[in-house]
Amino acid sequence: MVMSLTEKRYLQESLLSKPPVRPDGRNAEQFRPIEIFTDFLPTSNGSSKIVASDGTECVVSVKCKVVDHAIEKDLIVVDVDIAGRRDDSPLVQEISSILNRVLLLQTDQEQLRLTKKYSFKLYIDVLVLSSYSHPLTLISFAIYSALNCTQLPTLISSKDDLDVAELPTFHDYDMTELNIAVPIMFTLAICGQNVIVDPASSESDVASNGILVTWYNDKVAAPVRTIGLNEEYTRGINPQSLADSIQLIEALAPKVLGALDS
Amino acid sequence: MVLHRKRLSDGLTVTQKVFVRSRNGGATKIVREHYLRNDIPCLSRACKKCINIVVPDAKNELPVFVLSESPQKLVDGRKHYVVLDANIVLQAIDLLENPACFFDVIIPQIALDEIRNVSYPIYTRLRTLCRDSNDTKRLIIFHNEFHEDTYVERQSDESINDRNDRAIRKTCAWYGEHLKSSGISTLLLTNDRGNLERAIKEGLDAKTLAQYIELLPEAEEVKDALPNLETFSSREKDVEARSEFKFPDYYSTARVMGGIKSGVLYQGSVQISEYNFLEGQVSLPNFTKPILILGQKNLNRAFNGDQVVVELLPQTEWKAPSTVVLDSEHFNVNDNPDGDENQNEREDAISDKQRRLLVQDAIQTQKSGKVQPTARIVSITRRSWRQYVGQIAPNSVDLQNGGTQNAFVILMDRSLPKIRIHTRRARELLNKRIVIAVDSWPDTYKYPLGHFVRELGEVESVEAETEALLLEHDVEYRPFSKKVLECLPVEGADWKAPEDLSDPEATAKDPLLAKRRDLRDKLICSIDPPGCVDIDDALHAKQLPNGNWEVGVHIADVTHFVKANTPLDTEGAERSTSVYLVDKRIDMLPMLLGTNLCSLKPYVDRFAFSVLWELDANANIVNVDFTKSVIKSREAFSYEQAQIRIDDPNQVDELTQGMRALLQLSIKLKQQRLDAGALNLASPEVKVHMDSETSDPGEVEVKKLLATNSLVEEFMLLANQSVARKIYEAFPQTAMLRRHAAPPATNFESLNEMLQLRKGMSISLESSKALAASLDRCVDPNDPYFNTLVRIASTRCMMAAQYFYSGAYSYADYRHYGLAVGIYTHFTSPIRRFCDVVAHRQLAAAIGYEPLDLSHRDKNKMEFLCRNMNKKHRNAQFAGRASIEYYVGQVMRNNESEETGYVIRVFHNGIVVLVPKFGVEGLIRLENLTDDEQSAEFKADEFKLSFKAKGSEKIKDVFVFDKVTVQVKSVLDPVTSKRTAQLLLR
Repeated sequence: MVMSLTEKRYLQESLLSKPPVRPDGRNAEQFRPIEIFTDFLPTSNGSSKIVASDGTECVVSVKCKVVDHAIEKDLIVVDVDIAGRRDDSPLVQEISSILNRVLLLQTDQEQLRLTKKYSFKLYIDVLVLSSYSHPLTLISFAIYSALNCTQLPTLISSKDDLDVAELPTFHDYDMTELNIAVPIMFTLAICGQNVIVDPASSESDVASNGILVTWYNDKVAAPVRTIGLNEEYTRGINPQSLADSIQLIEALAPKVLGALDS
Repeated sequence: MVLHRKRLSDGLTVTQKVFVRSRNGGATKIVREHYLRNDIPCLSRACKKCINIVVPDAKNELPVFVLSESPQKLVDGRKHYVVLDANIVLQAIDLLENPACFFDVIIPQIALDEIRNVSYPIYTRLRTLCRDSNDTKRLIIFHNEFHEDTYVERQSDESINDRNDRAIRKTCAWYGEHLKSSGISTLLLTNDRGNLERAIKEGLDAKTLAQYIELLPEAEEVKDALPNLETFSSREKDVEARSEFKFPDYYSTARVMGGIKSGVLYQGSVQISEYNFLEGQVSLPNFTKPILILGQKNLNRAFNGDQVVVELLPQTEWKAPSTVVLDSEHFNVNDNPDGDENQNEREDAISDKQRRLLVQDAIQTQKSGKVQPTARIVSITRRSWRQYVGQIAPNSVDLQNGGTQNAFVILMDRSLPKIRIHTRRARELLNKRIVIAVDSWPDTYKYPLGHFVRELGEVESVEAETEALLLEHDVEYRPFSKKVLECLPVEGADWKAPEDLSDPEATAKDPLLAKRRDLRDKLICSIDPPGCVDIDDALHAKQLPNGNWEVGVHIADVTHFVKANTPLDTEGAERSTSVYLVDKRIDMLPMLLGTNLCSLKPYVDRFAFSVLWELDANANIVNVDFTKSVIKSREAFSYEQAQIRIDDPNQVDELTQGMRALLQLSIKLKQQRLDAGALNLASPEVKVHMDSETSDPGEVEVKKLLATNSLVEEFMLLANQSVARKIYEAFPQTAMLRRHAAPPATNFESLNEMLQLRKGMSISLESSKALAASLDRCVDPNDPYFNTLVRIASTRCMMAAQYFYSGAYSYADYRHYGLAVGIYTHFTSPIRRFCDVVAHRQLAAAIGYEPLDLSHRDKNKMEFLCRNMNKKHRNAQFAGRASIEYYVGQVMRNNESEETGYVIRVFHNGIVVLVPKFGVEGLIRLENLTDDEQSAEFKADEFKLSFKAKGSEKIKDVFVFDKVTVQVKSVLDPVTSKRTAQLLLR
């Protein structure tokens, strides 16, 4: 939605007031309602679909392949596709590089190890069908849900194949749940002294900066960084905002995870 | 994962089948849509409901209701149908085919699928049985997987086999419920303990095969054909038969695949030595020579011809090939079929890394010394099991025992182990040739388990022996089916070639007639062996005004009658060749064609495919032309008659002049061929003369060759070459050709060593010309037969010629080494070889006579065709030789004599002697050579066996190639009741 200068000014001022007044009446730490469906693609190993109330929709599918981990070091690959954006647009590139980095850095790849020679490699395909606000939080929720419902083929051959070579052989039907801790990411908008979660598109347009906070294994983890939400209003951030954001997420994240896991 | 059914329309629902496919180490999740319907009938005539739901199939035909409304009653008086699980069919297909039992059988589709995956031959037998037995045994396939009510979804933690068993139980339960009102009960047969228990728990009437047979009124008759399996019920009873002895376990698929991929395990087909049944060889592409497999444990239950996976043994166990003769008939003769003995087991573990080093060593070692790398079999990929012919070993039967007992069956194929069968009729079957099937070989049994299928007749009776050797060589000898015979011309024997090729009535029937050339004015004759009835070829020659010769080779036009893709064509392709036995011919094509309509009989008009050359006086080709034609042979000569006619100076008619010209030209052709390096090899071929009245074999004669033999041969070779060039030009990728590879030097190694050592001669392998020349030099002035002997030995070192399609090799590899020609095919005997039929079709297409059938333009189909031809061709040769061998044995039975023989192999415990007069070779065991076996000394490097001669103290040395005098008599082996030529050194 394109706003006039006056509208933007009005919105910016309401967000700067203390406590912030958000256009949809939310609190600073309140999310918009979301809907998540999991495991709905029969051919993939895990899948999820997330729909936000503003119409942002994102589908994630997880597929696996057996690789020799001596040759392929990176066992998780994320591919992001946002409808209406070119693959080489800054937004798509930024999101996919953040996701690849976070997942490779944070997740415990030992969980994907099959035998001494072979591992599963996960291919995470993210498709954002429509987006009206910065999609990173939603994508990260969708990946979290998809990975948590991922079922991988069960290995039936032996795990030790270093001395005596064996090709991994799998059960023809049974699957094993992928047990892996997945980081989630929150985008926050900074408006003066205020920090608000899950900024809507209009809020992003007037925010003075954005902060990305990663939550992994019950604590805030790397990366924590700024993220540009608009081009007009962006300015430097106050260190206090950073501390506020982290504090906010520490309080919020366990509740969000509780909701996602239920 | 929850699967759900979704209704698409009335009577059609869709569900999903999900499974994981592991292939090459990967894991792919596969999801298939699966459609269920409600219009699948039960096919029982007793059912009143299903008739309302049936719908016509794609051919607009309604399904036939097969199962009887009053099926067979069990001994307790119940009318019943039986539902079979896959294992029952796999184990007891013979019983299923038995006309005395198994009526009204329901095969669930899921069982059928499993059968197809496990054994395709059994699948086809079952399919044939279902197709042909509607009026007699009534077998049906019930498509339970597509039936709404009988489809079952796989549960989590359920193995696929358990799921399939459950599907079969569901089918059985459904039938029970469905036919309740008709009073027919449905029995489930399974030999699987878990399935049986679960079925009984679910309230089904389930039985094992043995229990079911007991319930049949004719139980006694069929009990013998019960397969001999290590079933759960027999396992406890049979405990005394198993002992500490145990074969090594096979490796898991994961290990085998991983090993093959990383290059430490190898896959190949095992060839058991014909002299020693405990020695096998596996030819592997990585190694220059075959890898040896020695001993029972290392062979690990492999049969001759099985596809196996092998693992190299540590270097300390590498050995030279055994120099001991060993066959299963004489090995452990006293083994008790009820017991097995102990052997020690030694484990050695080496890692893959060490194994890879071992491979390097192995390849090095093969290049050098006498010691050969050995290996052991760790997995059997595919069994070559079929039905085997054999006879019960008399000493394994307890004559006092009238009931069921275990007995050993010794198979005719000496490279196979004896089979343990369980039979009630052991005493009756003594001295009979019987057919048995192998069922299983559990690791704790020393010998494989099998069951009796049928008897062929008395040992040594002509019928039994002939059928036995046909069965053993996989020759289809049953009469042609009705479908095949329906493809023959409706006129039958009255078929006639049309008088006038432009006759409108005839051309209306056969529009291609106009393309035929009328060659009835040519003076054509045929020359064949005496008594030949299937005349494939005829010839003519005529001098042209320019002094050149017009020569024509006319081949029976079989493809005029055998059109592609008819049942007749399929049957011909399957048989691939006619098989010639001493007293019998098994035709590739029905009699009517082979000996009448196609056969180029004299004095009648016949269709032919003609090759016409213009040859100059030196037999060089000036011009060649191919045409379909109609001919009239003036005379059918035998080789001898033709020779006499040519030699008779009083005969000056045109026909004889033509024959003389042919003879002159053929001599020039032969010389050209020999100059190019064609080989003149030999085989110890003999011919058996039969007494015409009693059909008793009279005497044996070594085949003689006349000049007229080579007359026909030369022109056939010329025709084959011309045709090969033509069809290759027209179809560069799929032309039907024949090649003969140059023999690898390693094949000649041992022969050359023997020649070098014993006679100071050698065979050169640089080219076929050099080989031919060096063979000519191998002459022993004192012994004219020696050269032939070397030729026979060389023949055995040659590669076999093979059929192939041109796309399979590069042009340089098309060469026919033996004939020394660049490209070759078989064109001249379409009545008895299928290759020629294909060549005919391709040539007809190449000259624009008629379009070529797609199947001869498809590489995969040609590949399949060639493989079958090569196999059948080889089998036919073996069957022919076996037949001669049998008759030679019969002849010798009456005349014991002393003959000259040649030592062709020397073993540690015996020598092999070839007797040229009878074309037989036989082993003389050490115990028959000497009284004092301890005195014998074997020197492998000198090919020498020394021993104290019988009845004297003098040491006698026998070398390879020695000329010896032997006493030949035919004896019946007491263990195998097989008649063999027994040779005794004089």
